Amino acid sequence: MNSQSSSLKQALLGLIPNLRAFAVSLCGDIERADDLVQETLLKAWDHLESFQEGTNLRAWLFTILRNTYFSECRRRRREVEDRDGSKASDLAVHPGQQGHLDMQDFRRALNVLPPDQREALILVGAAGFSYEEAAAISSCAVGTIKSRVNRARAKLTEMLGVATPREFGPDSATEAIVARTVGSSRQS
Amino acid sequence: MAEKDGSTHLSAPAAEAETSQQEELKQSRQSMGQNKPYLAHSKNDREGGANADRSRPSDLCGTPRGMLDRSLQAQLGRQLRAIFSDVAQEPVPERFIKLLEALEAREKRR
Repeated sequence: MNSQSSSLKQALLGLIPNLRAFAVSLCGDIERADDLVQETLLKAWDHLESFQEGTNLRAWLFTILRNTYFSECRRRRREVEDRDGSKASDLAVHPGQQGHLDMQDFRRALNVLPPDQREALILVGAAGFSYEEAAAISSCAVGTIKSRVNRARAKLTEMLGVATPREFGPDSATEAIVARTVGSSRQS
Repeated sequence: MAEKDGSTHLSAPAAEAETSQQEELKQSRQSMGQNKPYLAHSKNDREGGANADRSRPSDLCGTPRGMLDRSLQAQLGRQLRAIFSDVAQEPVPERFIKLLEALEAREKRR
């Protein structure tokens, strides 16, 4: 038993950086991410009997973490009004640094995505899971994951497309027109 | 198992390559900005009612939509992986090491 818990400890330690990366990308906030990781580790430790030896420990931990995250989201959604709309207009009105599509723009856009689309994109596009593995983690069909990834990419492209004219060097007057136009079309 | 550790692809050298790619992109954008080859054309063309569509990639300066989308997609992919690997490369915070030690100690007492 001791050697088993010791090897579990080692395995968990090795996967913590990955879990944190997943959690931060999901919730966009390092402190909340670390709370999610902590809860995941506690649950994993206490429910080790439900882990099937020989299967993918990393995927199992990701599953626990995302389930924790989504049930928390549901709880929060009941408590607080959904503020996605205001976040989306922030993104459009304040396009960030001039001249390139910067990391802040990207992070904000990622946070505005619906959580299920963000999750699918991270699992497949950053964490290196296959569509099949991602589907198992999110307990949905492979086709659902594929369509979430596609919708996430399309939405990011649309949101960050605002930044694209700047890549080709418009002057600030053109940029102001773009900003105004996007701002007013968001309001209407 | 090797395949499952996909995240370890995103190790330090990869991140460095990423950064230098972004530098390159920045530089090439800056030099484009100086020339502004698209600007006169796009400004004159786009006055008036077409403004509402300015943010659509298909509408940009006559550049084929597919090309823009692909380069934007590639950039989005790099940024997504960068967000992930930035954190994945950080050392394990002390709180988690202590937590696991406490869990292990509890197990041993049973």
